[in-house]
Amino acid sequence: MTRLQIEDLTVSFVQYERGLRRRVVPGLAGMDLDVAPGEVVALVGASGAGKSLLAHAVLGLLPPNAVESGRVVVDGFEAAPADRRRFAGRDVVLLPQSVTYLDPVAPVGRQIRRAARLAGLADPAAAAASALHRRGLGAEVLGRYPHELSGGMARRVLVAMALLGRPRIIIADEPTPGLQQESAEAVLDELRARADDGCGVVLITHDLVAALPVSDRIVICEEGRTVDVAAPQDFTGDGERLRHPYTRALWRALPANGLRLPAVGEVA
Amino acid sequence: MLLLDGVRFRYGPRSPWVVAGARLAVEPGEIVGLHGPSGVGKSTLGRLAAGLLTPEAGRIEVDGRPPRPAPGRPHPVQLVLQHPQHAVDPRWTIREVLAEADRNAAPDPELVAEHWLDRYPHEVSGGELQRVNLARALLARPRYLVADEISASLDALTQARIWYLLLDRARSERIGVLAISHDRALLDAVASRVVGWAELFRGVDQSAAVPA
Repeated sequence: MTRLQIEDLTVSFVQYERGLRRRVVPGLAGMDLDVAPGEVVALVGASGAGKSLLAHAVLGLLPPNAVESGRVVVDGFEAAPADRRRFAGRDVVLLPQSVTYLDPVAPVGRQIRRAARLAGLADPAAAAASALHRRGLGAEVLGRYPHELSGGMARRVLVAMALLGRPRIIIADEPTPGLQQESAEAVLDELRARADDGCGVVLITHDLVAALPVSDRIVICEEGRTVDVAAPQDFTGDGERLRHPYTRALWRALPANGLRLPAVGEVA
Repeated sequence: MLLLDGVRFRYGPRSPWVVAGARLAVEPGEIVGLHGPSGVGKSTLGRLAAGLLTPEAGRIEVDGRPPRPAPGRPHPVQLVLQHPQHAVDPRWTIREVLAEADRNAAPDPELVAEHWLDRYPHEVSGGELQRVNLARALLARPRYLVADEISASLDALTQARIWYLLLDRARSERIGVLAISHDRALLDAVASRVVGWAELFRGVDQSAAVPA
């Protein structure tokens, strides 16, 4: 059984412009992804390809003007958006992309304790303190407001909050930008360890190089659509083991591989 | 030449020096990479070079003179940052964003597609908005450009595309570029020379940098 199975998920937004002119803005055009217990699956693609939108759809967090089709199956249970909202925060957690997800007017400690209660932990205060401590942050951080934290500290607070409970699925949306290499590796290692414990982890990132060592599979998306699934060991040499032209182009464009652009017409 | 000589800066009279006597020169048309770990002061140096911060000591010169743009004229050193969302007004269309640099000139069609112009910043992707951001800096006809982690939030293909466009414009218009990044492989690929943060202070007596 898979932890999370996404089949041909499409999302579009209905907007009304001046007057009553209706326009439909496409978001996801057909995403497929599945994660088994014990797996880290990286979702890689250009910015604007719909990676974060997929995360929000899986958590049932889309705004009311969103129209979706396709299937989202959580541990064998086909989950409608209302079910997904019920799972969110406890069974399925999001490690959000931006530190603006923290409440700017509440001290960090109060926010982590709330997350601990939502995760169903018996002693939220102790859980909050130990979650920070494990990430190298002292108890003084509990009393601070988000704007009093550096970018790297705020990120570690987000990690502490997201991984408090025992979720079955973790969706990490760009968890590492702005972190020093060691801290970034620590976050990725922690996600890997959660997967090894039986969790299913979706690692959303534009940083292919950082994702390779911790991922079991790499799902490549482009313009709201899944276009390829590759094994991390296929990303080697000149990319000759990569089947899809877009995946190969992404690999060859890395600075370490020569910052090369595909010839005109080579990438769809 | 863009010259920083003996530049010192700190954020408050009792704060430690962030930049303690830096020396750096960028020739017209030259691409210089500045490499160093995050938090060391690279972005502060970039803001000093672009005139957004004023050094406490030392001199900054553009082509032999302290840069003093006429009122309403853009600074000859333009800064492009990592997050274009923070560099544009969310309530302006892309057309209005670009008009800020030059109301009459058309933006570079290779950087900005015609059909983006009437969209708002949140209606284009991050990579597209960074191209707008770069196009705006180029519309200001800068002599020098500070590119501070401009592709750190972009995927590899978008990163390569934006750098080739920037390198092409720098070459054709003889713009000197200071490329700031933590990504050594990227700097090696785009810059004609790469300097490490510590090299900026070679020969500077660090003990003199400690405030009394």
